[in-house]
Amino acid sequence: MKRILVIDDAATVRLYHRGILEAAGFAVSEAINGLEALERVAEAPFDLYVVDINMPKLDGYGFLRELRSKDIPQAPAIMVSTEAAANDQKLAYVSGANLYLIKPVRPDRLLAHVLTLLGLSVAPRDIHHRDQQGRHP
Amino acid sequence: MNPLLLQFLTEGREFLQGIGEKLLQLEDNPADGACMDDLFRLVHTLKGNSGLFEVPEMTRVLHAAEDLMDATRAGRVTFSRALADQLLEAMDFVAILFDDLSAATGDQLPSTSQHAAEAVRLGELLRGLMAQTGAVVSEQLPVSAALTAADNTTDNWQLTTDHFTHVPEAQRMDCYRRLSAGEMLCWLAYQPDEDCFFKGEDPFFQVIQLPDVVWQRVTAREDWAALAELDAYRCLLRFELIVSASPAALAEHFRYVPDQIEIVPLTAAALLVPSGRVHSEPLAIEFTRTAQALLAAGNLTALTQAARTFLELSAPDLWLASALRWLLLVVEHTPQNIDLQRQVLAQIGEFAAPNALLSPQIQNPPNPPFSKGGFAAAVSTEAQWSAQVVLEAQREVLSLTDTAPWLTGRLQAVAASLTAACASLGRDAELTALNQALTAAIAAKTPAPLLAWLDQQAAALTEPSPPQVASALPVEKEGILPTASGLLHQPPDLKSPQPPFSKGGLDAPFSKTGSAEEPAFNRRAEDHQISPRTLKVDQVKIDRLMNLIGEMVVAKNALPYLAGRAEEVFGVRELSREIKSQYSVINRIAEEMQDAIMQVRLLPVSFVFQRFPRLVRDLAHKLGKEVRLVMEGETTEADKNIIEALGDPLIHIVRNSLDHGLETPAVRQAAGKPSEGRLTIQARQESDRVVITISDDGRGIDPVVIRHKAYEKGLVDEAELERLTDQEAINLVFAAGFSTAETITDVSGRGVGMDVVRDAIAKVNGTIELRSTVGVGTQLRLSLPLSMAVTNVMMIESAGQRFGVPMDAVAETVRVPRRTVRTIKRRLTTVLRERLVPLVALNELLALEVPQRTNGDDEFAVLVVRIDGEYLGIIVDECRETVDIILKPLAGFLGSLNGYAGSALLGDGSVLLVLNPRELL
Repeated sequence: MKRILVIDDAATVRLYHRGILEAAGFAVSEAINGLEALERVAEAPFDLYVVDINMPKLDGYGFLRELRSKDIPQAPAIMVSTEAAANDQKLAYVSGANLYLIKPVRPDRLLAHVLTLLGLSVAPRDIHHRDQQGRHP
Repeated sequence: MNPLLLQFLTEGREFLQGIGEKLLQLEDNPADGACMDDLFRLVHTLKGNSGLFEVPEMTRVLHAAEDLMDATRAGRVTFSRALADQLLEAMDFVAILFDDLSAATGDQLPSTSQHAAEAVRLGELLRGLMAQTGAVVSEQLPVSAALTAADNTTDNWQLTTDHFTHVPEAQRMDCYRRLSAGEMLCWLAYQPDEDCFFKGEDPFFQVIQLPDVVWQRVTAREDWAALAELDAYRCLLRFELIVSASPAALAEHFRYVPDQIEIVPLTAAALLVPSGRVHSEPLAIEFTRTAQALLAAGNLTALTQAARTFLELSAPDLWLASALRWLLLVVEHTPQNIDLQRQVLAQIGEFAAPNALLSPQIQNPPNPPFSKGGFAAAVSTEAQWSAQVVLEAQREVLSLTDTAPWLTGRLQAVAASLTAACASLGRDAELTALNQALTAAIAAKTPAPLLAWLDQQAAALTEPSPPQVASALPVEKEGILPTASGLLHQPPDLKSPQPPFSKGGLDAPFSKTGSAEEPAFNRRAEDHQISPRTLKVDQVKIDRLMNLIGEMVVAKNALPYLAGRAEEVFGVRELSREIKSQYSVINRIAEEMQDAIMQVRLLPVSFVFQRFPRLVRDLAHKLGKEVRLVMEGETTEADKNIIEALGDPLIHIVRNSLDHGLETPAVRQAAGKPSEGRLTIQARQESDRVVITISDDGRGIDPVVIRHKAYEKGLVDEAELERLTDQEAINLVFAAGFSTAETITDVSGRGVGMDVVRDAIAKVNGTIELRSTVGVGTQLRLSLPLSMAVTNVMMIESAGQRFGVPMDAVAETVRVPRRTVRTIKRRLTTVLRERLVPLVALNELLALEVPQRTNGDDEFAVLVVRIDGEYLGIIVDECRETVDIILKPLAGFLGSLNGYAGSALLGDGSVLLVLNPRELL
């Protein structure tokens, strides 16, 4: 099962992202800031990161810079921000983000991007669904 | 309530609290950059969260607040008290919206549109503060345009679904035809002010005057009240229209009420929302594929033909039929708009596979239900769109020219993203080249090779993949990317049931804990580490627990009564003993449980204290005084009821202190004190009581002035005046009807005196002491019990009825022979341990026309109570045992009854009225 780390200081946003991703059949973990996210990564790297920018202790940029400096399998990272500022986007890419999205992200769009960045064409939930259909035609 | 909303509200309230605190901190130290950053982050996050819900009023105000904070943080606007005031007001407004949202029942958000005007006002005030400095170029858009812009930025898609679904399909199609013919259409919402009728406005006339209305409806903003209560002069209407006019013309038409309208120019895509009964239709998949192929081939005639045929096969009220009608309309009127046609087809495709957000792209044989049609499955438009966005983003990353130390990691991540995007498109064949490019890029420390690969592939990648390439793909892809992570090439495993958790195989080299130990729940194990150790529980639930344990205590008290009856009435002593022993077990458990629930109910005093910084700041500002507030011991805990009862009295005391106690800076300087007054609020626990002291270094209370006032108001006579010590004189401020303020101010003089404070504290069995030294300051000391859930009362009998008296008040019970009772100044008294104690008969106090009974030796039963340090004997018929009860305040009509602390249920099911001696006398 693909593991996704959602990093955001706002519990509401974490719940929102978790809700979307879990419904699609992914295993979602959470971290409330960059430092905690790095601890999670040190335990085991993830398949995808969904990162907020503005966070206390260590912000999203800082987290990505640290992550990309590590000698571990590098997984795609989606940076999520409330700002459409071009400068923020550039900074996100420099820091190591692979995609920059504006909050609130539409559930179907977030999912489409997550699938793309995980190399999937169908959400795990639907695979399961179809398998069952396949066995009981 | 929907859990996301609940989470948002809970967290949002914390944010508001935090914002308030930071603002106050900043006032003390405007140069504190870290504090400023924190404040900005809080406002920013709150705004971001609010975007998840459709509460435009909140987002509008928060957006303005965020912009203002951003400008302040960047130094374009200077932090001032006026700015803090405005921001605090804005946050208060947000808190009101929170309260409205909390009232939500079900999944429907309550409408907050009644606050729209206020939101506009606050938003403009905040933006006005930015403009004032002149350093910022203010973007003074007309209000309506600003509103539209705000709505568009928050949620484009909500506009499509929420605003137009109630417009009938025929009308929307008509709009679509007009739009494609080049006409300008706008959606308009007009929400007249509630008291617009008093301002001479005529909303109906305004609307009727509009030319070229395509569609309109009028709704009520809230449910109409019953006819008898209906306020016909309060305008609750909301008009929604689709008008053929430009936004500018509409803004001009409504130029007197710009804050009450919303204008959104219509787009074809927004109208295109199929609606109708959802009914699964297996043919839809095949149709979609055929149609997509025809569309790709540009054969619109055949597409129209296919859609017509399919439409004839479908019942007209079905969602599918509606979608098909739209498809025909789009093809007919805008044949050049391929994107829109694709979009409609994609919707139909989604409908066919309702559980998939992306239409099926399954070519592998083990999925017969989806491949038997023999159609070349195309990648869904969403997936293509997403892949394109992702590839474009990678191109931008690769175009960066910096040489960050983490460049290698960045390149790997880009390669991982590209690999994934290819895989999701079924274009895995290109991956070998990609891998070579990555190796070259890492070796050369430059993104160039990857960029070259991307340029080479991009064109091919974004095209739908030819089926033979995809089906020729090996399912096993291990080894394609030897250097890149194993994380990335796990193929979508479509042919066998996915093991629920396949983490072990993927992450084994990196995971510290073996996956064998955490087989099925590894995600939860991880979550556990960040889940908070404290629970937030709704107060109502705890109150319910408290009520239940209360009933339990009462029910348990029935057992000794039962044991007594078993022995006395039925003569079974053995059973009586067993009941008693069982009782002691239940009693112990109940007591422990009660104790445990009490622990849960403990609240820190900060619950009450937290409002003081703001209160003191606002009051001091209003009174022109300088005050430093010092709070200590905020973590001291006490029962929720006690803490809640403290709120109003404490506010009153603080107000008094600021208004009457602390002097203005000029007066203080003249008296040789620092110009800044000091107000200290301190809480601490002393054995089983909470002690709160409020002290100021103000002018103190002058006993001479008090004596004078008290005499003037007739509270004391001349003789008493002579006898009173200074301390006793000061205590006169607690007398009913005493107020020392020369003039009634709007700060503390509200006709509420210290007597009310004392009574409120006494109600929760607290005491209050006042000490003051002229010119040095005043100190109030409140002492309260830690908890008041269980009250120990003594039962007494009088005139054949039972009453309870709280044991806190009872000093002793004595028998007083009738002959020792004397009448002094028409009052009954007796001498008790060489002390003169006044006596009152309970029957007299309760207006029961029965003389008090005596026992066989002609002795009265007297309950000596202590009130404010004075002793008083209450003559009753009989004193009985003491019991623990859960005191419930009298409610309803009885609530206003004086002299009673409340009622309680006894073990035998009867109700005991508990007297309040203080009120009784």
